[in-house]
Amino acid sequence: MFENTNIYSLGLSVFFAAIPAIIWLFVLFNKEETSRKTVLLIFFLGCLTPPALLLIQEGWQAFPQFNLASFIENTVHEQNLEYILIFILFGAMEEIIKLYVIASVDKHTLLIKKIGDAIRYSLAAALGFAFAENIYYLYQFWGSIGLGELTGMYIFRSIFTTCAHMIFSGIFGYYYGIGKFSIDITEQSKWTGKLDVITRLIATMFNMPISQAFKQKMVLKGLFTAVSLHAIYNFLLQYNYVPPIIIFVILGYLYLQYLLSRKAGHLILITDISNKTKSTIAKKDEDVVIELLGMWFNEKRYVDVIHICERLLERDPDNNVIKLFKAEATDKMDDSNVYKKILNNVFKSNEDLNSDDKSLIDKYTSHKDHLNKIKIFSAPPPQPSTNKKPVNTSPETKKDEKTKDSYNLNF
Amino acid sequence: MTEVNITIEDLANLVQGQATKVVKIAGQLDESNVDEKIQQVYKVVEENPKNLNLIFDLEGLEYMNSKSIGYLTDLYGKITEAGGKVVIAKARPNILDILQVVGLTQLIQAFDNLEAAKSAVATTKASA
Repeated sequence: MFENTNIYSLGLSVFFAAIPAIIWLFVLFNKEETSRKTVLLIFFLGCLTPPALLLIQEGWQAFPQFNLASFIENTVHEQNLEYILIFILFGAMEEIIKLYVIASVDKHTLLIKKIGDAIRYSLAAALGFAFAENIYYLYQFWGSIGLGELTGMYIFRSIFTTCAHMIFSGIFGYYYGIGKFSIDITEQSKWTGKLDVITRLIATMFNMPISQAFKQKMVLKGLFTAVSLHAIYNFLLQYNYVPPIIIFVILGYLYLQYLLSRKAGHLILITDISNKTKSTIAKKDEDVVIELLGMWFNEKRYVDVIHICERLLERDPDNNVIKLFKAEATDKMDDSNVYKKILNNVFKSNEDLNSDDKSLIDKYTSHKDHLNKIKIFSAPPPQPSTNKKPVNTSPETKKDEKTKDSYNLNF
Repeated sequence: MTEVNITIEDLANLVQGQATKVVKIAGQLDESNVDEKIQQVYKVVEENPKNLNLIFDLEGLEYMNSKSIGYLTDLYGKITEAGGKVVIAKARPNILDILQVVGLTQLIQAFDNLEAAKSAVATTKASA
């Protein structure tokens, strides 16, 4: 009878935990059949991660000298600090094991070819983790607490804890995805001269190529962000600060959305070298133009950068460095538009603000007609008009183009 | 330091009352020489603050780096704003290709031969 009750409560726990998981899985599925299978595979691998963590904790019982949690408890006597360290430890363990699922599957199958893939599969692994954890909690508290309390916990875990896990992993997935394009990004930074100190430091310390060091830095950055957010979440949970938790999850979601929209251009990157179209412009000549892109990008001439990228991509459609320049220039222009809107509201003037997306070539093409009109009424002979069509480089046009490239993850 | 030669020839009579110069660039314009050599052209612009017509004869130009494209754009801006005109003549296909990708050919007319470039300057000025 006792065993039957156990099986019954376990079955119900699985059933109820499965409801949010199934809903989220359908959100994560896209139209491709193979992708569905992969999402499911990673979801099931994610389900195995909480039991793996439980095994590690069992191992700590058998070998107390490796028990990191008791080490913290015995060493730190200030309660809040102890909690923080414990939450960092468990946050790190959970995030690392989710990372391990993604990284190992990717390593064996070269699964991730876009940043969007990295995010989607990370979300699937996190969903698997949250599903298994929800079963564990429901089963543990089934019958031992009141139905109202159990329902409250179920709803809270189904919505907020599940979302929180997915957000942490999604953010990690984003950085992992960027790391996949390390060769292109470090190639691009060669032209802009913007290679950060940490990447150089990792490269020197571990004697690895710059692109590899950049990849490691991105993985570490993603892990550090995910672990930090996870630790903060656990800390708030410990003290039952429900409103801050809700705000925290919403902010985390908005941050993930921001990362997605900010790097929209990155998401069209594909690493399948076998499908690369050969460039129709000589390497030496292309380098001159890319060098100019770097120069003008640093001078914030984003409109010119985007236009040059578009023309260059017609000649060399699969060049990821050019795509990166275009994506980043678009992002910067969008950012500056947001700042402009804010600053416009504050200062009621946009004269100085237009310098952020200033354009050399656009300036002269659009000013040609204007100059001619002025000169008709002034002493010097009028500027001859050109029969060349001026290029439309208005930020609005760019915004539309960005929308065209934008990412369509079912989120 | 790679070799580049910039020679400037005066075409005093092409457009009456206006300075017209042919800037002949031969060799390779790169990081090692562009900053120094381009000053010759800027000097001409300074000496002719209004209505200067420049014809860039690029027949001998084998390579131009990104900085020289920046200079060309800047020169175009300065000259046209002061009522002058800039055209390109005899550029090699690879140079023309770069200028096209960069978008400069939308601003600066390019011609196969010097005569066409000269007549483009003369005609537009005469009709003005």
